[in-house]
Amino acid sequence: MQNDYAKGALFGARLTKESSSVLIAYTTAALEWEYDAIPTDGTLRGTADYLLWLCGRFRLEAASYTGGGSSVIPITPGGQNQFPFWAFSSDFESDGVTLLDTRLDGVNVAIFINEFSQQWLGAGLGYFVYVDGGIQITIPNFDANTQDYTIMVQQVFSSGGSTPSTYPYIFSNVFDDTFN
Amino acid sequence: MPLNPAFTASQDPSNAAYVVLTDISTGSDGAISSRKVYIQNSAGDYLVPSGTTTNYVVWPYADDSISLNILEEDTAVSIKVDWLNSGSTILYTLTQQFCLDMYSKLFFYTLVQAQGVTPSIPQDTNYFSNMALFWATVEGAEQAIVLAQDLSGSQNCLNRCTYMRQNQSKYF
Repeated sequence: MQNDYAKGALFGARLTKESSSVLIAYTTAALEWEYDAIPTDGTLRGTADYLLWLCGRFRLEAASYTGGGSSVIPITPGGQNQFPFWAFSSDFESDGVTLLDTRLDGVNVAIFINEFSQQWLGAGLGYFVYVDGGIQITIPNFDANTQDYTIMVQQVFSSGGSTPSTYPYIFSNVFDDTFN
Repeated sequence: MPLNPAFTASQDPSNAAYVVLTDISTGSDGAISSRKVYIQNSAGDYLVPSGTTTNYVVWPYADDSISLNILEEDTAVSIKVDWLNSGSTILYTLTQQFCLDMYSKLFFYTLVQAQGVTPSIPQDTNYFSNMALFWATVEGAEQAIVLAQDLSGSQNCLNRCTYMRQNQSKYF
């Protein structure tokens, strides 16, 4: 802040108040106090957003002074660089139909079963459903214990609308060992 | 291996009137059978839960922590814990000072959280300077203990915060 404020000598009044640094500091302190006391407080995120808003462009300026913020461990947003991934029969639970994986937590996915008709399969169409910690294949006769499957799992980001229609995986609507 | 006595003290965020003591001692001593806790404020008064007739609280040795309803406002305290054998002989003792300022911290956060909802609040007359004063006073209360184990100095700071909190319409 001081750096920006000092520029006012040449360019005139600056937008930043001298008090801004104190405002940022005490907001930071308040956040730390509340987080230490009640880390589950639902208002923390909003107040943290307020703090970031207060910092505004100075976050970038500070980064230039600290070498690009190299001392801060970057946080990889959840779900990024985790999809698509392969799942094999050996990854399934003992029931042969349930696939549990932390990468599936809280995301929407579509699956592509190599040994199956060549379509991406969405949830809720009779192909699979979401269960706690993963998905469960609901295709009749699907059993990872008796067949070797290679499945690609892809994250789906669409937030609305309906799942695209998919042709029946077999005309008789029954999954057999011939995958036809 | 003898006991290396240690304990922490904090306030319950859900009800700051409660002081929670936790025994974090290392080592062991099979002769220990009970504990006694003495809590004094800066005036030397003993703080005990309502109905207690002694100036101490018995802290069952089987319990790692104990919660005591003893505060009405933020208080700087000196806490002494004695570890006793079955004959009530003090085998170990430890006295520490604490700045118990949860009332002020939670109150301060509610003000800052309100700023987040209404960012123009700091423009109110004297609001910003009073916020800065409150913040600095809470920090001062803590540093008085951390740096100097100064109960009186810490309590003076806490008294100012309590007054501002209880008369918030004048300051915020």
